Amino acid sequence: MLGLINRSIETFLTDTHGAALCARVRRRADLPGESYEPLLQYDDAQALRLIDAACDELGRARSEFLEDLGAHLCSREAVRRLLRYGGCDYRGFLNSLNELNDRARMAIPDLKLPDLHLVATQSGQFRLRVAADLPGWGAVLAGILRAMADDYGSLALIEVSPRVAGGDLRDPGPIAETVTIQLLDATHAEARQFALARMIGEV
Amino acid sequence: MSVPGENTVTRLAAQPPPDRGAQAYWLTLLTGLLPMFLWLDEQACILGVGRTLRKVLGVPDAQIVGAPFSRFFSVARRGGAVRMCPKELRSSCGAVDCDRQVGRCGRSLGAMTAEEMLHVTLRMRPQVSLRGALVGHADQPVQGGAPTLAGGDMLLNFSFGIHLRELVAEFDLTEHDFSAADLAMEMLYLQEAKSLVLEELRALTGRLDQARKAAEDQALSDPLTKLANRRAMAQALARAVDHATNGLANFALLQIDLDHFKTINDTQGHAAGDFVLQLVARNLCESVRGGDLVARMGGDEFLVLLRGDPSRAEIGALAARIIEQLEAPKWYRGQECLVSGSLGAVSSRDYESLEVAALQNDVDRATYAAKAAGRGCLRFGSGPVENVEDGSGASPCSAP
Repeated sequence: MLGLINRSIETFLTDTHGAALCARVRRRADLPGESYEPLLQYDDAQALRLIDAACDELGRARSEFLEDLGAHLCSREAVRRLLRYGGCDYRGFLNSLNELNDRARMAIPDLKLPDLHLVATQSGQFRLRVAADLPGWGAVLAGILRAMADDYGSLALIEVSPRVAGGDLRDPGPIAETVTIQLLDATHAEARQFALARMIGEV
Repeated sequence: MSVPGENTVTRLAAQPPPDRGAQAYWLTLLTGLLPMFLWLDEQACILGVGRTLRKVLGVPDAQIVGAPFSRFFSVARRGGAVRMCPKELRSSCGAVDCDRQVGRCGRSLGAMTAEEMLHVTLRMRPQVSLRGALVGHADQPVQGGAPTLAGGDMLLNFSFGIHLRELVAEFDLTEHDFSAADLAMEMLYLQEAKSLVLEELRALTGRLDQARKAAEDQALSDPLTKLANRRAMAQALARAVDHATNGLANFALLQIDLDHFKTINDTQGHAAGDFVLQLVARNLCESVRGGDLVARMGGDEFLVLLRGDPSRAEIGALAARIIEQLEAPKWYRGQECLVSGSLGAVSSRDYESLEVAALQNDVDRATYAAKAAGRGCLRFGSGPVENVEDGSGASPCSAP
């Protein structure tokens, strides 16, 4: 897994709970080194240990923690802007999720994000299938979708379905989770500002 | 010259209503496909403009349609000279009162766009440059599908080229200002994403560079005295030998072995020993010149690389100063630490062919000779041990 992902977990911890807590979590997870280099690869197990240690330290459920992590990602202006390129409204953004993985790879070829597949159901809902090698991406995506709904000024109900009980854990295939999105009001509030070509380097 | 727009007005007025409807439809279609199109008649008067190009020009449609091309555009690259009509065109041109700039007439534009890409800048904002190409040129009136393309009309299509990002910001464009088939959005996204990645890489390079420097410092210095260590001296010596071999600069080596140091360690403890080593290191550094290198080779052995080809007298004087400092009273926690030193020196100019191992061997033997001569003195050495000379007049043995 690219260090970028581990680093964003650390940044989330530092931004919301302080550097001291992040250091405690790292110790609890017994991680080598001081931090992660965003563009180097690390063992997947490290990310899982980091997440578990953070949940233990904060006494929070994993799904909650991961949703907040997703929302926090979108609060970072650089990430928010890249996501806003997806579409000029929330519906467009939702549809762009199908190519999020390819878009990410366009920027960083080593970055492996889950495969996303969005379908519109007959009842006017959207269902996002999140398939990845590791569990938990569904919750991260739910956090991202909530934060981006706010960003676009849309009112949406977002839920993660728990993983199918009784699913074969030895199944070598990717883990699929489902996020359902009910778009109640696309123009509920004013969208946050997004100018296409903010000059590079400006923050 | 014809009145700008006369042709247009006449033509539009002459068109029967069904054609006007077709024209409106055609323009909608055109602006959807090519939002930066410019449609000119044979006089280079503007007959139609795409919605995004209109945004760039910054004036209402009514002020654009009918106006001459050259009211808004100069055919020039950004910061470049305005292009002039080629000779062969001028010789067959009957225009009077024309400044011969390309774009004053349809003929000059047509000739240019047939040959090359069109680079224009805006008259009102010369810092804005666009790139354009001829899409279609009707020599004969076109029938049917494109009911308004008359003989001599030109359809140009513009793009922001590599200035995309800058101009999108300048004109506050949105994704609706580009055709759906345009990759401009992907280009903007990619530029932004790449700049973020580049920033990360720059930060990583910075961190790696710092780590490299720290590791290098650690690898090349003695932690106790902060002097260069054996490895650093080996590198410096190899370079010095290389320089001297190439006739660039001679140098000398001065080795200092502390005398009675083991006694201090044994009777006063290692802390006292460390104290003496640190003090000696400081004194050595203060005694040598800027370009010289002082290294702790291990234990109580120091080696100084003296650059600038010092004479024996100069080396002798330096050795005398060093011995004086070594023998000066030193106190550690109320107890005096008594040390002295035996010094050996070699000069690179005494050698026919230089080898690091031979130099180190000889300076070692000279130091041993100093020890054998009763310590607290300097001996010179080069070549076989028989050549080890007495320090003669410069010998600090006789110094007071």
